[in-house]
Amino acid sequence: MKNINLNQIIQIALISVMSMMSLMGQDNTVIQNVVVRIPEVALLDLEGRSGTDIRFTGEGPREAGMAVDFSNQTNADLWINYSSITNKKTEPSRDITVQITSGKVPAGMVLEVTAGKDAGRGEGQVGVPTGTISLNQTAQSIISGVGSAYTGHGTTKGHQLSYRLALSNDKGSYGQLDLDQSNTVAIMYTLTDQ
Amino acid sequence: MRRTITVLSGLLLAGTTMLTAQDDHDDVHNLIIKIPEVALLDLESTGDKTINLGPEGPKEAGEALDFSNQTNSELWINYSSVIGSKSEPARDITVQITSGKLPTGILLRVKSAKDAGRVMAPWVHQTGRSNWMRQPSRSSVVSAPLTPVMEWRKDIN
Repeated sequence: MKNINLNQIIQIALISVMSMMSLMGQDNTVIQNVVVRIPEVALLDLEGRSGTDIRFTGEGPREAGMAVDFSNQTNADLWINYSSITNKKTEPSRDITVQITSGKVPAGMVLEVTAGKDAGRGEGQVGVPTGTISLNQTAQSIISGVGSAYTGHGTTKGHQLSYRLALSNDKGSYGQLDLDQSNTVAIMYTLTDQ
Repeated sequence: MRRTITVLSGLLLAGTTMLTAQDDHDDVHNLIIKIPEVALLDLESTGDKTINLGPEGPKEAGEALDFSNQTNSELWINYSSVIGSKSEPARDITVQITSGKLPTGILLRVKSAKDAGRVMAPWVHQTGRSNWMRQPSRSSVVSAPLTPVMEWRKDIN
């Protein structure tokens, strides 16, 4: 019994020493994987001080023989805000397109919109305006080259939109004016993949 | 149990509200275009709009009154018109005597010329030497001269 106890004590001691040696030989660095994931972002919003509806009413003449005056039919109340994170390989930049999704511009008239330069209230690769767009049912690029950027939220941030309703320069346009073609036009802006 | 349901319903409602308030990659706004109805007419002249017509008396006994120079072309009709293809597709311009009377045996005729063409929609249809002029079927701004002619009515002498 006494011998067995001694053997057991020796075994325990040996195991303890080996364990200690094993511990001393261990590496003191630990690898921890951290997954960094940047989300894809594509958000667009139209901002106006008091809603986003615009009203254009041609002014009727006061003197017989004078034309309807459309010269004051302009509006610059709306702003485009956007937030965008792009992928350099799969989606290097985006466009903002504009199109009429319901309603129609009355015959003899043109509805134009121009986007201003970004107001500089955000940062990143903001888009570049493409110039004046004559609106119709087809999507047209109004801002191009949007990369990873944000414009800031609200009016006076992002790109200001300037609308103009005018008589078409085409011959006979005035004769096409028809008060029954007064209507509401829905205009959609889309931050799209290039 | 009822409390749990209330709390869950509240959370669900809040979640739904947050979802609807979220922006996405596009946005739409309305633009309301209103074309005004226009129906204006005016008579224009370089001077007074009153016309004086009267036959010249004969200088020789036995001759008739001379109506040959009893014409006037000083007045112009101006008008501005915007029509509605459904509600009011075309307009006429009518003419009538509203006071006074033509002397017996006298005829007063007026003719409107073609539009002068200083306009954007010059298609005016006239009815010739009659008492009215048909207005174009589309919207227009027009000037047309008027030529009244005073004649002796041979049919009732």
